[in-house]
Amino acid sequence: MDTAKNSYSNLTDAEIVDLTIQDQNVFLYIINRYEKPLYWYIKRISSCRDEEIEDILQDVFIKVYQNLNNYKPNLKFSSWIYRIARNLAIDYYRKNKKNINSDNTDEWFLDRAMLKHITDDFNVDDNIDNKALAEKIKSILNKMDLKYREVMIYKYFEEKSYEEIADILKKPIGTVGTLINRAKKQFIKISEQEKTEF
Amino acid sequence: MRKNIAELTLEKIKDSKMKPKSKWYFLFREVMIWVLFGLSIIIGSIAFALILHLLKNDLWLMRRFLRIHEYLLYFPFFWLILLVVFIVLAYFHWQKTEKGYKFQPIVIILVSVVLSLILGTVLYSFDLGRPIDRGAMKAVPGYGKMAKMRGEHWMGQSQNRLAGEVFSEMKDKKFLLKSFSNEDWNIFAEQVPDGELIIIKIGDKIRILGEREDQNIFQAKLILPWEKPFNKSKKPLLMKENH
Repeated sequence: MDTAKNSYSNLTDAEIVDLTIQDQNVFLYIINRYEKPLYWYIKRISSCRDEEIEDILQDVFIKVYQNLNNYKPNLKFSSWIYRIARNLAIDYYRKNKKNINSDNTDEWFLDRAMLKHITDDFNVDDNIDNKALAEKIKSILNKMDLKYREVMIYKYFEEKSYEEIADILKKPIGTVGTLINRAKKQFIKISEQEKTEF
Repeated sequence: MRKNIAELTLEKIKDSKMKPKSKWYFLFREVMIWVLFGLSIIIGSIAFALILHLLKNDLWLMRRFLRIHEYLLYFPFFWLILLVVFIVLAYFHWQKTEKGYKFQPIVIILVSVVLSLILGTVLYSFDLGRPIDRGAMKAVPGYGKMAKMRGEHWMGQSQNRLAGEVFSEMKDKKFLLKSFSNEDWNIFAEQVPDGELIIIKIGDKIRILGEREDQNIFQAKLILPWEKPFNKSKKPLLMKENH
């Protein structure tokens, strides 16, 4: 099993997709590869509780499995799977907006690199304590419009390129650029309104 | 995380004997989207061919004789709205294609407009405007009613228009016409420019614009067919005297 695991870990996503179509057990390797990143992505975008995220994740992987033949290698597999996750997470968020507590105290996974990315772009003092900074950022993001919050998440937390964001959102690259600029402005505006000190 | 999502998901897939959807399903869906896009462009171009036909063969020729409210009657609003609707539909279908999202909406709309205009101009240049117009009168709900209103516009009493059936051959630029309201008229066509004279035969249904001079005398300035049969002539309004 370990040998198989090692051999699969060297394969590209597209190669694993091909193998999964022949043997559904191989799908496990796709799930293992994307479970954590998608978990954090859904958590950040929807502010859902863990058990809700797990349900969404399961739906995501089932949908991915059912649509494997629709995946074309000219698109990055990660963009394709994020697109599916996004649609399901946003659907869930919209349907359950009233019941979702965006101020829940769950911590976000924000590593130093992600924070550095933000502090560089927003002129934030990067000597501030990581945990405190993460809380402040989370609080502002949760007050942003969903369309802006999600591009901020792609750019700063998922570290996606403009092209990848365009593929996930299914929007032209130019539109993604505009959305990111507007999102940055809204981020600054809310931080000023909230008198958030970084 | 509380559960092992990987195992739970795989278990669910196996228990429900789930299989990935066939690649033919996705191929068929993609082809259908392109077919719907193509159909939207074709219908848009038919609408444009009719706009050209109605503008050029009716509105433009009659422009000197129409009052403002009559312009509204002849302006092809119906086809213009249809053209816009199908360009919007073409845009939505294109956006649903695999790579449609990569294009800015303005680019997709411009391409759809240009394709509809080019194809519409080709249809018009093959003189398909009138047969399509006649087909649409029968087939498109609402449009037949509008065409009927235009027809009725020629039926009533008017100082400057007349419609009916030719019942004598033209001699010395004069002929006889039985109007659709069953009156006999002497038509004088001297004021119709020579280049615009068409061959008229007994039995032809025509529309005449000009001036009523007397009880039964009408001075024609423009003669148009009532419902021109399809032919390949690019000058449908040319009138020539029979000798």
